Amino acid sequence: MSDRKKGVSMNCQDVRKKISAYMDGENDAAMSQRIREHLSECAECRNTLQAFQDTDSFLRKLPTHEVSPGFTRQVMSELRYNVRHKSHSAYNLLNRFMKFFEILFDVSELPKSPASLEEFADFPPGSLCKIYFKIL
Amino acid sequence: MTDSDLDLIKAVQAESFLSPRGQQAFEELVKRYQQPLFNFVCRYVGERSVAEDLTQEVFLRVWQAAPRFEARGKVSTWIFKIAYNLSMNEIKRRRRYQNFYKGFWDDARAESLFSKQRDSRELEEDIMRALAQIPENQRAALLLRVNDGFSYKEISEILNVSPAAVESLIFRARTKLRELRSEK
Repeated sequence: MSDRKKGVSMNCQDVRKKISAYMDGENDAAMSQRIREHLSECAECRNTLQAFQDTDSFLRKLPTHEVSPGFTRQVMSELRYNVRHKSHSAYNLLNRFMKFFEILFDVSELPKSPASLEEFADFPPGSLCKIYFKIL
Repeated sequence: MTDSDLDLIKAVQAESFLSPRGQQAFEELVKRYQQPLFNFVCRYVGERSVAEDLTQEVFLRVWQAAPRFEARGKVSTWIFKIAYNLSMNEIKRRRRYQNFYKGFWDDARAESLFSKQRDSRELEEDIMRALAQIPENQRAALLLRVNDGFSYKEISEILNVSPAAVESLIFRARTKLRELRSEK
């Protein structure tokens, strides 16, 4: 089909690109109107539209399959198991975390009475440490 | 009055899952979505034997992600997005895409899953065979539009592409299906 009203009418190529969205009602009102006008005069584009509609009907013939009868129950029990398992694991993890810090604080705990400076004075004679200690 | 999907998600967010109200709300959500999700996964992945496990996995992920759900989008779109991503991963993981549809129909025959007449089974086989020949993203977009009734904007959220890309995917899927049908 030729462009009857140049600038307003659409050519077949443009219409065919938009015909799928037109079918789905996804074009704006102005575009839909232009496509409708084109279709009213173009048998070839009407055929394209018809072919797309047939394709959709073909796809809609797919039967709906049912999930197995106990599906909902199965999903719910699986979730419950996951929740309990997860919370149990979280509890264990927290316990281990606490234990780690407990041990860490035990190891790093300072002696009850502060050590005297003399306790550190047993450096080898003549060593830099001994000299430094003497200056102190 | 029945609760909206958003009310159910809010109830799941507000309650502890192990509380009766939390469980009740989630069970209602499962009942609402199990059928459409199962059929989408079944048609998209093409293997019935894995579709039920995948659908179950979808609900597990939905529950895990429920506390982070923000009411900006629709609940249905969000749930289908999870289903789409899981199905995509399954297709990638198995790396035996060529055999997916074959597996589906072998299963169907062996288990006599379809009690309907042979004609309707043959028709279904035809449709599934045609669908298998369409690229994955085009197939997902077309199924979500035609069989699940999502808008282009919703499909764009599910597939994580622009609405213009969805328009193009659906157009190409329809064109391809049309060609395949006319070849027959």
